[in-house]
Amino acid sequence: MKVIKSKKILTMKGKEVLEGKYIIVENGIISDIVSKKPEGGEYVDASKMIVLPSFIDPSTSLGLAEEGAGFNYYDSDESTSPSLPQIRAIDAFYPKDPGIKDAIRGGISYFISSPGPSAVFSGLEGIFSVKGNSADEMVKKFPFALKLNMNHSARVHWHSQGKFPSTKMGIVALVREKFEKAKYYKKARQKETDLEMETIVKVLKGEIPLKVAVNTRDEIEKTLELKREYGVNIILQEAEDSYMVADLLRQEDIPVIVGPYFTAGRMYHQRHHYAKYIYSLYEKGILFALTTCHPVIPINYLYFESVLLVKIGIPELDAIRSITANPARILGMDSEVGTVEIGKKANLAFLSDDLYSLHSDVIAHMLEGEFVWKNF
Amino acid sequence: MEKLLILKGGKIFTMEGKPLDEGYIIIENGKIDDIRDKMEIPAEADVINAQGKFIYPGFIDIHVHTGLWEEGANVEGSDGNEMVDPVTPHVRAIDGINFHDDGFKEAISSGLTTLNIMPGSANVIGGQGVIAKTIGEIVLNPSGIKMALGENPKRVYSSQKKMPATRLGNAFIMRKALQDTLNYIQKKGKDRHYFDFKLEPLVGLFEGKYPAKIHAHREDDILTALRIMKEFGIKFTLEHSTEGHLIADILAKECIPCALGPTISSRIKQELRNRTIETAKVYEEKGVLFAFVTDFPVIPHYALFYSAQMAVRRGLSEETALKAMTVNSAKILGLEDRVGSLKKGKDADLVITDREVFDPRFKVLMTIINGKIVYEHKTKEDLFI
Repeated sequence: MKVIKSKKILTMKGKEVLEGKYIIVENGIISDIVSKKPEGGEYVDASKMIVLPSFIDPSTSLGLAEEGAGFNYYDSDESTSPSLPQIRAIDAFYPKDPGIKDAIRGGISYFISSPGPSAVFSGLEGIFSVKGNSADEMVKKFPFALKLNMNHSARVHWHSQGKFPSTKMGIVALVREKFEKAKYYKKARQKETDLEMETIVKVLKGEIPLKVAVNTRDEIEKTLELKREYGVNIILQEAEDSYMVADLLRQEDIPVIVGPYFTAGRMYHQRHHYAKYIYSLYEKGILFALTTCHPVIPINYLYFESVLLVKIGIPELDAIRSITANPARILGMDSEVGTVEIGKKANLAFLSDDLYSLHSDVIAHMLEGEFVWKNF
Repeated sequence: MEKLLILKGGKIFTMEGKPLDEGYIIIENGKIDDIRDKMEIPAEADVINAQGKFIYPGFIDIHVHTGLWEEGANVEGSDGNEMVDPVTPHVRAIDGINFHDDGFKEAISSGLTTLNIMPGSANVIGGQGVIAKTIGEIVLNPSGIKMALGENPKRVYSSQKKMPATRLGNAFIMRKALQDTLNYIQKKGKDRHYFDFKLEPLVGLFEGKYPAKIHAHREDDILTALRIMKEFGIKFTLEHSTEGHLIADILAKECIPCALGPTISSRIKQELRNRTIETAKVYEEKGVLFAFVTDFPVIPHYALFYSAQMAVRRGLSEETALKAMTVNSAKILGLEDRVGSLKKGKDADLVITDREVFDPRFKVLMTIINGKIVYEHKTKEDLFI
């Protein structure tokens, strides 16, 4: 048993902030939150610290594109065919990617590792934890989703290759073709196992969602059309123009992964890639989470990236929710993580000072009840 | 005579000694006329009340590509690298910059007032940089000759089956261009009508008119730059200096100014493998003159402050961090007489913020350049965040 004395707990249950409480951790789980120090257990004095759920990054290439290692170690983008739903992030996941150490220090406990972005169907994403020595030890959920790139990156890639699909028409045709084929495959009585079709059938059956990268309004609208047509679950990503169709997204209950925002050098299709546009998603009550798209920006800056949401007017607790409780919901893991609550995993980030304040930084990180990093 | 502009109150970080808790900054004809503890405000003056706010000199980024790689544009707005010849000293950033680009609006709304805008690092000798105010006023042209060592020129030209394909080639091409320039100077001495458009800009390096600005990340590339520049007796600054912390003693001893950063971008190339936020702290300890840079559009201009905030959280003093965005930046650019601090006679470039710039939540409320309000924060729509 561990007994953690805190200055404040930002539980992420609504606007709840608990002052001076003790968090009791047993077998990696938060077993109680109490006002009086109990007898026994290992005492952790975090009485000057702010405790909150550790962070979750819902879209990275962590483990797939080892930083600073050069081309031979970039395994995130199998750009050799437009339809590769059957390739799997877990099979190229390198647990010694230095970015994982950065993630630990930045308070990120879970992250999605995602293949792409050149293929239209670019493969299966998984949810990983930062703790462990192998992909199999670190994986929390596999597959989590199938990545679909309806956006600029796939189109430009195939255009440069002089191959199909090099237009939006081509991309949508490819998606429909694969869906139709999978519908038939699902019904066919006698068949050889086809790995590509098996994966798409999982999506059609609703076993896994499609995580769809889109940029512009028309790409979003087209994605929603495909969703209705085939009854698949979708999560939008990038989605710069989502603010233009916020009502529609609210109505259809579509979660959106936004960011990263420590970026410049926007191309034409990203011209609305500014955090200020996210305000309308917040205002309309759309479920959204913030990402670093590591290595686009280093994953350990997720906490500091979320400050940008404060700067554009989103209340501080809701800004931090976009990297804790919200991604937990999008990942379907909100019964286990994302808030500091009895019965949930003791995945905790410790801040040295009040949220977002002058000298606040992540100074310790507990994952499933054990400190993976501690600097106090 | 323009009307006097007076900033009243606020914590003033003059960067000339300790911050003043309250005071008056008097601006006349675009220059700082005086900074006083107390004064009678003349009736005809315009007054900005900055009580409870924070006032800084306009911030400076000494290594950017703003307007050369335009925002919201594709290849049509990509003018940073003349990637067809590894030696292009005759091209000038000033001729490729779109001063109407949103990048400048982002810079102004982020409190940046002076930028050193240079060509990219695809070429061993990339061209001439220019120092400009973010409102488009040219301050100094050329500001220096951009050069590059390491992976970038190697990658670009090996893919074209041209030299340089290795670091050997990088060094050779740099050395040859400088030797060619020496030969050219000799020829000119004999024949005053002799003129080489391409080499002429490099003559300024030998005359000490402006420095070489050498892109180098890795320790060995930094030392190569030092070796070649010593051979030719050319003053230079290091651009990026990512592994500078490994040889900070040498940088301090040789008095090489460093444009450090971007420190919060990822290690996407092998030569960035040892990038660490702690480099700034090592530079402070060893006495290396440095300034933070964003390398815009690698990271946004406003991320200059995040670079400083991170370094402070890893042990850099706030004082040095502030200097590395203001007065030391000006010193490295050789513009310490005009910008970088709040002092009588300097340009009236000021920034008013709602919190200290080390608070990640701080907002720029107002940017003043040459005594004129060029940005005022009203709603989130004004932000380029």
